[in-house]
Amino acid sequence: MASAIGLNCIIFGRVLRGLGLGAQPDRVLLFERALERIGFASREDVKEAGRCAFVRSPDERRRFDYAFDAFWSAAAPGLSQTQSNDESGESSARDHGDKTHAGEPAQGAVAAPATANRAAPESHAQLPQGARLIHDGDRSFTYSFAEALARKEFSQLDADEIELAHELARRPRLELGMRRSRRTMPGRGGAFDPRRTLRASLRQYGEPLPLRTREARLRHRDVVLLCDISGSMDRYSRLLLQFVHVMRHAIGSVEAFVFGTRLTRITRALRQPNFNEAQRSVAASVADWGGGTRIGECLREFNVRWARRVLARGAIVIIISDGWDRGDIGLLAREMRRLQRSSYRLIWLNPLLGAKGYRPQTLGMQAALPFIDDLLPAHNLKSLVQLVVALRAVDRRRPVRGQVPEAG
Amino acid sequence: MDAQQPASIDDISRILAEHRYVADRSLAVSIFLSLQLHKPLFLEGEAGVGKTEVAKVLASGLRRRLIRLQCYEGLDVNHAVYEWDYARQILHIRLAEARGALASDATEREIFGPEFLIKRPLLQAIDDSEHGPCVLLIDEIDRADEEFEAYLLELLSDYAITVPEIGTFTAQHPPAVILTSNRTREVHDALKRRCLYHWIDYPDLAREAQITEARVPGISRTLAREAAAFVASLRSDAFYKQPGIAETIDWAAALVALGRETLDEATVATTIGALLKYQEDTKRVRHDLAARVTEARKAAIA
Repeated sequence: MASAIGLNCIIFGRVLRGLGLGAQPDRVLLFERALERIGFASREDVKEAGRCAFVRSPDERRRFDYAFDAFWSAAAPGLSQTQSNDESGESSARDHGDKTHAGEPAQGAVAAPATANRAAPESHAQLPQGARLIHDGDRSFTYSFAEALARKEFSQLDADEIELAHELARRPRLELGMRRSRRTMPGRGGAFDPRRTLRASLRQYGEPLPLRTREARLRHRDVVLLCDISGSMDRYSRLLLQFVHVMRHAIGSVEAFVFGTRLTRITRALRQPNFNEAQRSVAASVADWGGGTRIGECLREFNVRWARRVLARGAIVIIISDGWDRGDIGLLAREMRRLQRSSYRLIWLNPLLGAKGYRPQTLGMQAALPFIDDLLPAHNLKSLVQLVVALRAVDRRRPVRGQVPEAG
Repeated sequence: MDAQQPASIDDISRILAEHRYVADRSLAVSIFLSLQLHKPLFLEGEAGVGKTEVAKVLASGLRRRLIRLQCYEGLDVNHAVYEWDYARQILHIRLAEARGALASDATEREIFGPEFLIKRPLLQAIDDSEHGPCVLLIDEIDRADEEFEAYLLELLSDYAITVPEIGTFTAQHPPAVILTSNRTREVHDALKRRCLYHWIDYPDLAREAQITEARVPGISRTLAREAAAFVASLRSDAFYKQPGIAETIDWAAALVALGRETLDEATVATTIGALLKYQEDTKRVRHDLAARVTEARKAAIA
């Protein structure tokens, strides 16, 4: 029996790994030990033990719950997924243990990731909220049709992109704004360092003569990138995505989001150092390539759901968008106001800004303008390099901001 | 050794209930496993869902000492783990000098001995020879910086702390460790790997009413249910900051202090500051306050 449980834990671990959950061997072992302690009397308890062992964020919890239900019902098809009956929990675990020997659970292991993959993007994009947005007004219906839900295939890198990569690679490490950390290091600061003073004094027969001090360490500011991937930005999106990727790997803490009609976090997807692979995983996680734009709604979602988590330490926010907005302009202004207040510096990169005779006169741009600290062009390769230079100039000084009277 | 070790999940539930902490089964399972497997429990959840309270209740329930470490950026070994008593060290060197002995290797060994060591919370929790096992609460780990997380790795996997000058302290009885995080930043996977993870969600209406009743003395059942229903209606909307359970309790206490037996619009309007902490949010809620109050009163009866 014990070995059957162990085997099941291992297979279950593989299913979870297939779903991108970090089910390393030590976690599997932990799960097995947990099961030894709590037994199989209650299915819900077993599930919670699994959550304890395998889950590391609320996102993962949804995926885990799905996999758990699928795995358990694959093991005992007679059971309904939501059943939390104590008796059935026990029997399902036993059934499953028996089938392992018959070599059947392979089916469960294969079936679960396949179905779960289909469900994952939904949970990721918070379907309830998205659905509510679409039904907000008549006009928004058109966006949902425009929203190209089909996964976009990326072509290989083109020449420009390769050049950009080389250009950025040639330059020294990207330096964005720095901030003083509360952590100190030995140096010429004002803080007395008793430990090093004492150590040094031992060399002088206990005379604490050279007073050692510490100074604040400097840290890179967190950077949050919000990249527009709607239809009007299509020409730039691949290039910009690569820029985001380069940024992500050149500066340590970069959070990246893309938005069109909905907001998607792509920080995790960009984690692969190889750009082509990163691109592929971004494409797989984003549902609204080349669709419409609702900047206001997306910024609102960012402000409500993410700002507290990613803007906590004086982050620099960079929005990359042409400002073509088909949504509520008043909302856009309100959310920009809030975003500016919660970020250290709000930079807007506009690809149209490089074009001759362009004035930022689209409604969206007009509404956003009062709340932007720096408006920079981003229309071709040259200006992306310029951008790196411009970003390097962002220093510790806080941008001067005036009061903007609230409309309405 | 584990005389006070709860033997089952039900024991945990009972302990929590005795200390007026209304928990669902899954939290009890997590705590039970954490104690049984000697793994730290990593509690995540929105602000004010009772993460810190778990540690407090557990400490009094298990009759153990609670050692709390509040994290902040720049928190370092000197404040979290140990510090040398520099004044006494220098005094000691002076005394040695007065005796005519020159500062030597022997003196150095003396002044970096245990008697000159000041134990900070983490070392106190590990060095349990005097007080027995404790509950160690590492609060708001997301506020500390990444460097500090690294200090915790040795502590959380081996329950040991190494002081270079002295050696390694190892806990005789592993402390019950609870880490909390509000997710203002993602905590590194290496740290999470050493822990059991539990996400505390907002409770449903019935449970929140139960919590309110348990925590606010003198509240009527109707008012507790109405307050819970009203807060639930706020949470279903995308406010910048959703009220936590802590806010519900504060607010309910305010209503009781005002002598209310049931919700009415005027009282809600004057006390809304206990629930919503952003001007934009309070402005928004005033638009449909009457409807929300009516709805909450209806939901409370259902």
